Amino acid sequence: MSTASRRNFLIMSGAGAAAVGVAVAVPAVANAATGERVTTPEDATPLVAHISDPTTGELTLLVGEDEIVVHDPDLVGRITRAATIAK
Amino acid sequence: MSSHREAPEISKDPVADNTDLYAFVSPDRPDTVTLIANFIPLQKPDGGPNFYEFGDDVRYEIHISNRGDARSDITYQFRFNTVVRNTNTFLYNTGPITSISDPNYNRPQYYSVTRVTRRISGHRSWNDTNVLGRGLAVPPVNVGVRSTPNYGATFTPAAIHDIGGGRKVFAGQRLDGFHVDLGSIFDLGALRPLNAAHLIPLPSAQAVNATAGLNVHSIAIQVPIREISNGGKLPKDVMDSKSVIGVWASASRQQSRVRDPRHGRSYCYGPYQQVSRLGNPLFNEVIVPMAAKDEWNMADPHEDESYAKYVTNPELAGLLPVLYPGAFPRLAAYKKARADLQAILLTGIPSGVVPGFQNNTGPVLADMLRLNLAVPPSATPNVLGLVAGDAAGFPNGRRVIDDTVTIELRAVAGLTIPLVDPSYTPDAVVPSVADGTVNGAFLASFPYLNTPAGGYQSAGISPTPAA
Repeated sequence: MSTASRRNFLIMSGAGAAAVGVAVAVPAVANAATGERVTTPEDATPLVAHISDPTTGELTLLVGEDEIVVHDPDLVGRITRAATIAK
Repeated sequence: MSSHREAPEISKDPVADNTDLYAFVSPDRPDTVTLIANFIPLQKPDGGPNFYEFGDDVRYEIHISNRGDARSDITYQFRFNTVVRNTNTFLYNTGPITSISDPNYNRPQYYSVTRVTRRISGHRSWNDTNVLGRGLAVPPVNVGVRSTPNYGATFTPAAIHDIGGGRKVFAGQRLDGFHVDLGSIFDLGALRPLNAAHLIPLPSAQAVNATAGLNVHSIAIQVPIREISNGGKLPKDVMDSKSVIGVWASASRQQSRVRDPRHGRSYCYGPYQQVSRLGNPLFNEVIVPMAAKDEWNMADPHEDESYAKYVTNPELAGLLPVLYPGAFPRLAAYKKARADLQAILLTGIPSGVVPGFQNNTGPVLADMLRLNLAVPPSATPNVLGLVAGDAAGFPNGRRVIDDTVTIELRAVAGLTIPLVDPSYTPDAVVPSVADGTVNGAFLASFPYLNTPAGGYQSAGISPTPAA
């Protein structure tokens, strides 16, 4: 089947993503390994974030069997800067 | 080959590599259709200790289109999971496996079958999903006389599962029923029986079946015709367009795979993306150019219009007169688009071409195996199918006995041009065009493909040293 017919294609603006973030519970939990506090939704699962073209400000999240496309230039910028710093 | 290792990328992913697809009205249960999709090509039976198995991370599917738009109306999905019973041994079996549930079978696989049905109401369409079976056992591979004794009688019947509604299903290792002289045909298009006529001549020789004694993994399902026909009817009129279905198979993987060295395993994320597809035998193998094969594998049949140019002007038809100088003068001179091949491979044969027969699915150009459900099984089947007057055979669906290499070679060589262009007379050599390989044995009932070759029983491969 084609990707387009399969994927759960959600384009969320940065503001929209923030609104979703407000709607779900975001507890602060301590990372067992580092002791640092990490804020995540209660139902957070492992995922892969893919940025095919950083200039678009678009980020694809692969979660379970779904694909979620997020438009968030600020988030894309922070991730790509983190990757650059880590090199 | 039909579709064994037919594209660069999928040749590196054999677990997802769809090798053959069959669709036929079951000869012993003519109110049912049998659909068989084979995967994992060219298995040496002695390939242990980690023998061949289905992929837990692959979604295998068989699709049926019955509305004429080359989109899947009914999809059967097969998902596998593997269990390791004893984690402290390297052995596939810790003793003789005497039944499909024997605890000595250390790495059993199980699977689920899900039916996805496309519903349409007005401008709305949606899919209904129905799990037909879970925890269905896959038999072990045929390891050898000590490990899997009396393989056929012990494991084949035990691995045929009744999943209700008149359906049967089987998933497991089988002897590859496809036959072809690979060593010759991919050595510059040579056919050993016609060696003397080749551009680089050699003495004529007996064909060598490259798949003889090698296994595949089959997914076979037998379902009532009413379950997959247009409108849920039992078609009786061959000339009714609603009597025809289109069938294809596919394998899909999740988009992302992350290898985790901390846990020694991989994790997959994201939606499934098709990586292998198969409708008509040899379509992607010898019609689609190498640079487009992987893209074709990821596309759907209803997107095949862009590949039609390779069907109507096939590369192989141009090569035959070059490889066999003087043997195909009429084919060499024929410059029209090959409407015969387009009908056979992309639309189905319309009414008025073959008296009393059609398997046309409408104008959408799509590589699908087309089966007219109103054609009953043949009492005297001919391995050359429709071109030999047996309308129950390829290209009306495909039976396990059908010699699709010979049928397609002759069709490409011009045998079927007169169906659409009566002014054309095929070259005299065409009726003798064949690679010379022949069928092995098959079972008379489901799953029809024969017991897999055993590891211990196999003689191995002894290549002849190069000259």
